[in-house]
Amino acid sequence: MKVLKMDIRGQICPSSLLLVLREMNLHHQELVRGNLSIEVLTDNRDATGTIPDAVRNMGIEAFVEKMDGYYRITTKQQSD
Amino acid sequence: MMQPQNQEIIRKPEEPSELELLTEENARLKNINREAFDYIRSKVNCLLEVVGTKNLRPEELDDHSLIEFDPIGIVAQTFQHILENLQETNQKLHFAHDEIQTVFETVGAALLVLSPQGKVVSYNQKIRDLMLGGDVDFLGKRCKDNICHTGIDNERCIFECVMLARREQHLYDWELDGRSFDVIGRPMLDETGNITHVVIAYQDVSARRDAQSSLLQALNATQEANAKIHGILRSAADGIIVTDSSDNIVLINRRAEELIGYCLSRQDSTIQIDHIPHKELVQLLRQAPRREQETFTEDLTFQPAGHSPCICQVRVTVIKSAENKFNGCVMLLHDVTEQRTIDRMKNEFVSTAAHELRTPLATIIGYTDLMMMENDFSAEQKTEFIHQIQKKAVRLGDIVSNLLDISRIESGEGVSLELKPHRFDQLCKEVIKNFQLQTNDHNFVLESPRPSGVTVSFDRFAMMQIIENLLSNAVKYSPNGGEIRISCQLENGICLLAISDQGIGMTSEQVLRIYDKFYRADATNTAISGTGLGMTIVKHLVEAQSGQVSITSSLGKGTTVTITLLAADQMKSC
Repeated sequence: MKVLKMDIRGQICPSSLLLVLREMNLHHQELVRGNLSIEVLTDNRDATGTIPDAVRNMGIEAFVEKMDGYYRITTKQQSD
Repeated sequence: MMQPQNQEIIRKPEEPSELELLTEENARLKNINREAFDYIRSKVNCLLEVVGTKNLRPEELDDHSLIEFDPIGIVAQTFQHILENLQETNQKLHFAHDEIQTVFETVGAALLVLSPQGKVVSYNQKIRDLMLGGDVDFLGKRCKDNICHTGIDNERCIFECVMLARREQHLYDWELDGRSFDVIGRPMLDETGNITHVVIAYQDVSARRDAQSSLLQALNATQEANAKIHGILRSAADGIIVTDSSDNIVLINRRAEELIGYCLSRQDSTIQIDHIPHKELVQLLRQAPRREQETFTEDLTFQPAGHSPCICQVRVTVIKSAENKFNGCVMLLHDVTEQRTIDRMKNEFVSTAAHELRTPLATIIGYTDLMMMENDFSAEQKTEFIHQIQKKAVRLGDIVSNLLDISRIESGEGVSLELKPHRFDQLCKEVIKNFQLQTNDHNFVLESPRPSGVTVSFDRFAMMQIIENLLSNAVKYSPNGGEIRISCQLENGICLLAISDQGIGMTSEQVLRIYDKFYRADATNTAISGTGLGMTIVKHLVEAQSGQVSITSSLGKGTTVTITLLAADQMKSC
């Protein structure tokens, strides 16, 4: 599976969310098929709520991990 | 002249300059642009609010970047994806709903959904079939009034139990209208933890309960039967040993344990046949799988603790599966000691009887052949020949009589006796006289009270047979010249007849067996004739006249046989 890495540390919401949504729109088919995963690095706490919620609404699972001074949000296609 | 004062100068308004027009147009366009950007920002903010995030501030994204970045496009496309996902999810939900509805109607359990107020929200066909009946619709009605119409305590009301515990509850053997149910109640909670519904599943276990009851009865009956069979096997007169295909002892009964002298059934673990302390028996079991016959027998001797050795006919039956595979053995140990002893005695008797019959017959044949071949014998010689023939014929008659007597005794017919008072001493004299006529080799001494003698009630013929048998034994087993003493006494109303010889005597073991049929204490000396039936007949005839026989004997010194009979006057009072 391919992994698309996005480092948006320094960005605040809603631009963080919009950036991620734009990438998701661009790669929606691959994400849905489970061929691609997006890994987002962000230091904006609000983004750890808004991004996973938006991702899940599109039927894709998202996991948040707290790293050292930032967060890592990883998407994964839901298995039926 | 022109008067310029106070004269209103009406000037034709000047046309706006090109610059002014452009400036105005620019301001207007700016305004429109501003309004457009404000509109876009407000719409973007609306959309962002929907996705749950903050407003997009100008310092974060200026107007120029707003158009270039196109957040509305991004969010709109996102919404398109969200909508697609919702549609797909909706389809799945519809499918799941249909599935649940099918399961709800076809599941084996009766399902009931209640509101927190105990009103019926939904139920399946099973509920109608088992509990409601008819076509009345119970939706919205109270469960208690319509299902538990017989009245059930709160402790046995699954709805109350679930509402109280707020978690899954079970009730077993819940009774309704003679049926038995296992009931499961589970609450459905909303996000705040409040109960929205209670789902109750009733599993009709009446048939299972009845089947369990029947099965239990059958099991008890089987256990009883098994215990009976085990008891019968344990207490069977024959020894039984059952083994499996691995040569383990599956069953051994008490008799088998007695015979092999080892208690195998008390061992906790599986016992191999090698533990049987009887090598020949183990060998038989080892050979069983290789034998061609499914059943075979062999006589083996056993030595049970504290008992005499015994002979058992061991019958081994091989158990085979449908595929002809060896599955073990059943071994029966049948005690044939008596049978084998009788067989041996019969064989001995046949041999003895043949010998006994052949001897007089040879004499008879010899004399008759002689008389037929030669005719010039004197009258005295002929008389002597006929006398010898007659004597041997009488002997043959005696042997045949003995055989007939023992046959009658064995068959239970008994012997018909005519008990009358007789002088015992006189009868003894008669018998002694007969013996003295046959042989002068022995000295017969009769002791009896004189002159009254001894009067006893007996059957004359039988008593004569008794005394003849006893004297015959005394003569046969005494050396020539030996004294044979016949003592006839009366003591306290009892007649004692004792016949003593100075013969070869017997051991105590021989004395114990002296009344056995066909038993001869000294069978090695074939010169001494006898069938081994005399003492058996004596004992039977004496006891038939309410008397008793006793024997004392000392090897090499002689034997005394004593017969006790009630005196004639005593017999009357009996």
